[in-house]
Amino acid sequence: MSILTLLVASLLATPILYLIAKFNTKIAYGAYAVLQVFSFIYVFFTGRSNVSYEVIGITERLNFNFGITPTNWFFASIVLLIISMSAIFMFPLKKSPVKIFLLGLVSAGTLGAVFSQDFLTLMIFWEISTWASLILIIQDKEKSLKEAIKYVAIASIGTYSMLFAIFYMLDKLGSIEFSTVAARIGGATAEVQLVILISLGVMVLAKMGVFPLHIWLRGSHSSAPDEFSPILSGALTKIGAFLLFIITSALPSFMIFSKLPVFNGIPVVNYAFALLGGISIVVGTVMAIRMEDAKELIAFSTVSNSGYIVMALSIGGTYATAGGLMHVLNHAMASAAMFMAIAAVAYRTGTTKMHEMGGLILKMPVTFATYLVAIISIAGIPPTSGFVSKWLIYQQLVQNGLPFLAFAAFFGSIGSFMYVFKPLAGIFLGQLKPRHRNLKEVPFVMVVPMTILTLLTVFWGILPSNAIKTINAVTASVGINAVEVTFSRIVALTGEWDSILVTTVFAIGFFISLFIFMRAKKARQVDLMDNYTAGDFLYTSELYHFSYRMYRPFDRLFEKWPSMEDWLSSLSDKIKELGALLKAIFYPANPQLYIGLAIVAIIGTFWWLR
Amino acid sequence: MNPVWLIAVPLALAFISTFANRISNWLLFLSAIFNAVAGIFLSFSSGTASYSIGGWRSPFGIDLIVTDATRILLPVANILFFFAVIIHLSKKRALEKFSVVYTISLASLNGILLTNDLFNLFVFLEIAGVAAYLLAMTGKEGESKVAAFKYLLLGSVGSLLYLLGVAVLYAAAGTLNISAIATKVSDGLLNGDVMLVSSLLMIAGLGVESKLVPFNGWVPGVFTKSSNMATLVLASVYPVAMISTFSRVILAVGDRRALDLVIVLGVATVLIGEVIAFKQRNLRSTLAYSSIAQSGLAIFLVGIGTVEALTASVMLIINNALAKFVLFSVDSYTTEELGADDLESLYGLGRMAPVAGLIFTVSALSISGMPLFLGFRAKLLAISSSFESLLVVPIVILLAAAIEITYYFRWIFALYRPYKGEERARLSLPLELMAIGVVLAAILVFLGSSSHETLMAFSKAGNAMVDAIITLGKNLIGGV
Repeated sequence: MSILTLLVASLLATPILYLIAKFNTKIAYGAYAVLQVFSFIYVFFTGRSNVSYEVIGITERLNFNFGITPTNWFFASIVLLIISMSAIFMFPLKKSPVKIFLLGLVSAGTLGAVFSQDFLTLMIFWEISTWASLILIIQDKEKSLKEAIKYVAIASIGTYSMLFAIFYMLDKLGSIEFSTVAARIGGATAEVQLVILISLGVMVLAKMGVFPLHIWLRGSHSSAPDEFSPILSGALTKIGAFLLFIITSALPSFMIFSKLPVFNGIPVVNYAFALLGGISIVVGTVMAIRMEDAKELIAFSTVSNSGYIVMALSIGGTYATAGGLMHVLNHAMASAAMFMAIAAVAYRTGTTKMHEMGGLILKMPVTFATYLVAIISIAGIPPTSGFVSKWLIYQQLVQNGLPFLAFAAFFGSIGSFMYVFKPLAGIFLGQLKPRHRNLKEVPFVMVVPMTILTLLTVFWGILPSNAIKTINAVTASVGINAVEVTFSRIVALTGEWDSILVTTVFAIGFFISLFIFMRAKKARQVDLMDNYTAGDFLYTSELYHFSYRMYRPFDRLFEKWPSMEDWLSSLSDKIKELGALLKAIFYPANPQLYIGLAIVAIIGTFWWLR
Repeated sequence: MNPVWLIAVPLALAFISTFANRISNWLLFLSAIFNAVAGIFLSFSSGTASYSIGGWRSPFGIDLIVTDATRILLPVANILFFFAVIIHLSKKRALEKFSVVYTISLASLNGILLTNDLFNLFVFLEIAGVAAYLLAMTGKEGESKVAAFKYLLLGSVGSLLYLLGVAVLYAAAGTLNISAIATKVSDGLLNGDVMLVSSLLMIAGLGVESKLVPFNGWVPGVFTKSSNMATLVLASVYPVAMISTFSRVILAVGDRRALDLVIVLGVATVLIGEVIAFKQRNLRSTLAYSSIAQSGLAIFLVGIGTVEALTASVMLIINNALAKFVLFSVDSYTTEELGADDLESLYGLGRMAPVAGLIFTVSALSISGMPLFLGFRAKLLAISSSFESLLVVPIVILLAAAIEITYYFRWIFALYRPYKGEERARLSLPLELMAIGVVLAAILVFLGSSSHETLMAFSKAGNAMVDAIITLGKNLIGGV
């Protein structure tokens, strides 16, 4: 059984699942989950064989090309991990035949995209999963329509930019397979190279949600059905990272642009992309801090982390590339875990607004633990895996001497403490609202995937060398140096660190605090009304859990910041105005004017063409 | 089988209908079935074939030409006409007065697709035009008559310009046979200025029906105001004949410089159509402007003139015909049931009438060119061939495509919008509409996801568009 069979099976399974769901949604969803888990296990454990297939024609000159290079395998495993975990997770949530059909298309398209070996195959399968995910986003919530239109507009900008790049490539270089383009692009003129790489870059920016094409993320991720947000954020944006890796490392853009001016050792074009990534980090972090809805907050966190990935992969070099790839893995897991935790909370409480909840740590401890580990990973604190990727990226930034980008990266890390803490405090800590007194933890089916992601995050934090070795294999396949690792030690430019040692220190610290906590006197639980009042009388219980507009001073700082979401709607208005103008010119009310236009056109063109 | 039957039978039955009013509907049905079946038989053979009419040998007489392109386009046009008749046959009242007109339009469309003579083409264009003007005024409101009148004015001027172009060319070439003239053109026997003038006049004339800017002022009014069956026939069957004939004639007898004009006008049509469509608030107008844009897309490829471009053009014509048929049918159905077709009225339609929502979505996605559908294959080829000319062309086309996707998704989202209010009653499509819609949608998906071999027919058609007429001409001249 080959990858092709798997792909065809996923595509064919989609209408079958739809038909099954018409009778019994549970069976259909169960079958879908089984298919995804099986795909993941199959790919993860048998991949890396470097086989490639060329299949049935798209047009006369172009065929679908699939392959399993280490790069394909790496991205496929990550994406399939997230999709399979989500597939298990979504079992108790609202089901429908339409949703499972679209989910089937999304996963089949994603599978085809990550195993592609040429740009057109990548684009076609990516498009399939994009239009399916568009219709899926609007399935549950009323407000999702306006947001999804923004996604349509930006996704189409990206897609057509890539389509342009593909045919331009075909015209100038004669091929669109990754390996062939890599061999030939070095010999093309600078103009051709720039056009190709920038158009492909626009697609990356659009799909990963990086400044300035990040405005669709907030709305789409937050208004998507709860079970689909982990897939959107954790899997689909990572296909953009796949394309970015191909552009920057496989092609590779450093060698190509080495004729252009170089800034601190990085070609100008790469630096421009990295800059966009850096701005994205800052914008994402600041906007996330200001959000009141948990899903919108995590959506902006995705903007920020996509910025990290773009920055790291654009800068290039041993450590940034390894760090960027590791960040793809980390962010996929952490983002999916965060969205799952919020979905779990929403499943029980019916809301995602943070100020409507509180104190859920007692009622939903596993969800809390999942969310906690995920945010520790996003903030980049050992012993979770997030620390490793960020550390590697910092190494490269420092070596290359890039102060602005380093500032942006550090700002992102520190700022992320702020915004990840907001849902934690708002949802899990603080006072339990009376109506939530009877909440229970989510069903076992939802607990399992959350736990798996948490354990994986911690595992790769304790033993990152396991992940780094795999990443070394990936980077080696495109000719980049490997990061030196031993069993527990990672060596880089400014030093080395031993992950087991760090974990041990953390564990010791944890146990000391635990010991103190257990030996100290237990807190006495008192009622809210049992309070010191200095002679005054208490009649109502006060809310001491301040979670609404938690960062009001910070908010005020950025109140006047211009919103980029407006530019898309004003663009749309301008197009409508242009439409009105064109209608007035070319479709006037009087038929005499039509005829007049026709005669003018004929005479004018005769004069032109003669 | 001599294809002249495809023209003769509907024409004869139409004449009979004028005397026997009561059975005119059945005669329409009969001619539609006959043409559909005959069209399918025509597609079984291959290669280029020419048939003389009345025993006069070409290039002195009129002859009909059947190329590989005709073998795809003619059956599609006839079958879609047949489907339109089936769907609307039950509404006897609407059809009654106009069934003669429909029968004549069927005859004339077949004539346009088959003829190889310029003046004969003019005759059939006039017949089809008159039928179209009458169909355009079938709408219920007074505005439909006004729109039809505008169409009449513009169409008459257009056909007169075309006639002038034909006259100029006849005077220069000495024959009216398209293949013969094509041979003379390719041998360089005709004066350049004469060719240019006649080409421009013919582009103007044919451009009126082919919805080319700036000759397409009639489209929005006619498409939005006429009756349901009329719009269906005018929007999905007429373009197949008109655009392919435009391509055939201009490629055969047109001046090479005029092809640049065709590219410019085609691209302008696409951009203008999509931008105006973006601002429309109700579905019918959106589809009307989208039809304009799709015509522009098919036509600018003619200007590029390579085999790949013409293949893409044929695929786009077919895609537009099938998808617009479904879209306009669903739209007219919902307008009847719900009273209006603006964004708010269509909310949640996908859940009220799931089959309608599904076929609508499939057709809309195919027109906007999403993978898994025929429209994607067509667009891919179109963009690939657009790189043959200036770089501005693909950029503008892609920009227009981005706008197109956005507004089509707006409609798809409206269909699948989750409910806020109370559940609305389930709508059920009439059986014929459901069956035909599902078949057409399935064809779009099948052609979109099948391997390259299945689409060989389109490549042959593209090849035929470029070469067949001239080749026939060379054989003719050689023989005579």
